[in-house]
Amino acid sequence: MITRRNFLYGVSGTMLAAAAAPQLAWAGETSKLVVLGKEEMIVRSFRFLDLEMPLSGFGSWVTPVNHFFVRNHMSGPVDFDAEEYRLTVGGEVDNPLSLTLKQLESLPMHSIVNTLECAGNGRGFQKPQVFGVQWQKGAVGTGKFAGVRLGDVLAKAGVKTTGKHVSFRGLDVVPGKVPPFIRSIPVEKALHPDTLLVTHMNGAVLNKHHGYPLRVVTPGWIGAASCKWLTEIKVLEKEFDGNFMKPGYRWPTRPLTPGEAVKPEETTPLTALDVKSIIAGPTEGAKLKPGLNTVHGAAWAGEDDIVKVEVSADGGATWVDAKLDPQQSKYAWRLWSYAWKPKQRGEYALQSRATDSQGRTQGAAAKWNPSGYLYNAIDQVKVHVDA
Amino acid sequence: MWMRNQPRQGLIVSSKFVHLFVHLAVLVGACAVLILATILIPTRVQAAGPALPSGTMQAKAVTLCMECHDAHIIVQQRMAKPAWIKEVEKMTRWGATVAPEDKDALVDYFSLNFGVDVPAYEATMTAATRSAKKAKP
Ligand code: HEC
Repeated sequence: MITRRNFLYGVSGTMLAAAAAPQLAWAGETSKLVVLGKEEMIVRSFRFLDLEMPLSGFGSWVTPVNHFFVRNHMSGPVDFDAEEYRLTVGGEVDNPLSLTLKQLESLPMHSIVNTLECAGNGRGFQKPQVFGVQWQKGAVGTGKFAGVRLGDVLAKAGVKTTGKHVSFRGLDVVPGKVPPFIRSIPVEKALHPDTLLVTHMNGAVLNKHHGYPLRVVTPGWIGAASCKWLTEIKVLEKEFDGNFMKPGYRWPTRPLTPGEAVKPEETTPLTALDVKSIIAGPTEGAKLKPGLNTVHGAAWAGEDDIVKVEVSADGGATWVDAKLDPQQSKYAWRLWSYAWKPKQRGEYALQSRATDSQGRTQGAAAKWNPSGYLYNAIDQVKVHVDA
Repeated sequence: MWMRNQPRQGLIVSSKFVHLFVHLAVLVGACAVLILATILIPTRVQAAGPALPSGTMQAKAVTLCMECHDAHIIVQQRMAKPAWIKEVEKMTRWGATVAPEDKDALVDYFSLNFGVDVPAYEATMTAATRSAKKAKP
């Protein structure tokens, strides 16, 4: 017998599950948000979903999918139909294409290990503060990405000599009058054998939060160059100039003083990541005992290699080399550690500084810019050593 | 599924008048419940995150600014008034239906509650679910 009361619960229960989207639910009034497939992530935004990896995520060289950060400008596709799905390739090409997933998967597979970082990672540390998702350390992760070469798909389409840039559009649902999330990369990077149209991440089919069924991975570049839910590729004569290329995701062509405004003509689109290291442990404010305390973290440099990570335990007065973990791959971060043995009790400022194969290194302050991109100041963690 | 099946069942068993009446009543009731549910559900979904602070502009801010996204992206900002003016203008260009006469009050509401000197917003964590134990890289 269905009473009115449980009838109502029955209905709202089903509806709630449907309305809250298959992957998302709110577990009770006082408990935490449940995002299926994601564990103990820092919630920067729920709708649209922006999740930051906790510091514990820096403990593994390949980031498990359930700890991999999520960044969305809008929501992903709601009713995805794999049968209906097509990837179109058009613009400055000889043979425009419309490919099914099966046709795509018949091309040779390749894989790379790539550290993907949101251009805004660390924005929350910028001074003065700027608008945007207030990420701290964890809008970054390293994945094993497998798929087909973008170059192979472009070769099938035949890029004309007039084709200089390649733009990507995903199946994102665009709200109101918000400009669609379309960005382009130069044709040279698009044709690079490591630039992939990815179907698999860490050995499994892409999770919906990471762009199922297909995403671009533009290795070593800012996350925004790796469009999710890819459905349209256009070869263009010029750089795409919509909102997410201009004024979005640009970098000043001259140094700015913190807080200074910059003219659009004095900016250029962001491409590869800068050199950066972070301390994942000990954590801010930790109370430690004298003796062995391992300082550890990760360091990455986009398309370049990390050659050195140094640690300072005296606020930057003296530096010693950290040990780089042997696991490495082009475009992937290096985990590092340093066996620190403080003898005296007191307050310590632990710092880390990476240097890459181009000779780039981290400064005491980040290069300030109005959107707070590519934050890469020397990282610092204050700890307390007590007997 | 439920929405489509229920009325059909109701109509099939309604060959007798009495039954028709009973089933119509159930149908009307069911519709009312559905309407109620659709009203209630957006509130539940919106509740998946922080609330916007109280104030005379709270109700308008909720209607205008939580249509596309929830309040997380707003409550974590710490910006001065000139920046909030630009932000409200940007969101209006993007589709927020801010009436010209509401703009100043809305900007004041955000700059007061989310100005540069307000203590930082403490982010929450998602739950650890059962799959955490089985997680593999
Ligand atoms: C038509 C949809 C829409 C409406 C309505 C809307 N926003 Fe947004 N808002 C967006 C989108 C899309 C973003 C970008 C999300 C991203 O990139 O993470 C955004 C981002 C933001 C951000 C983060 C900074 C930024 O610019 O990316 C703030 C703050 C914000 N909105 C405030 C507001 C306020 C205040 C209102 C009400 C006046 C509002 N929004 C109404 C769509 C909307």
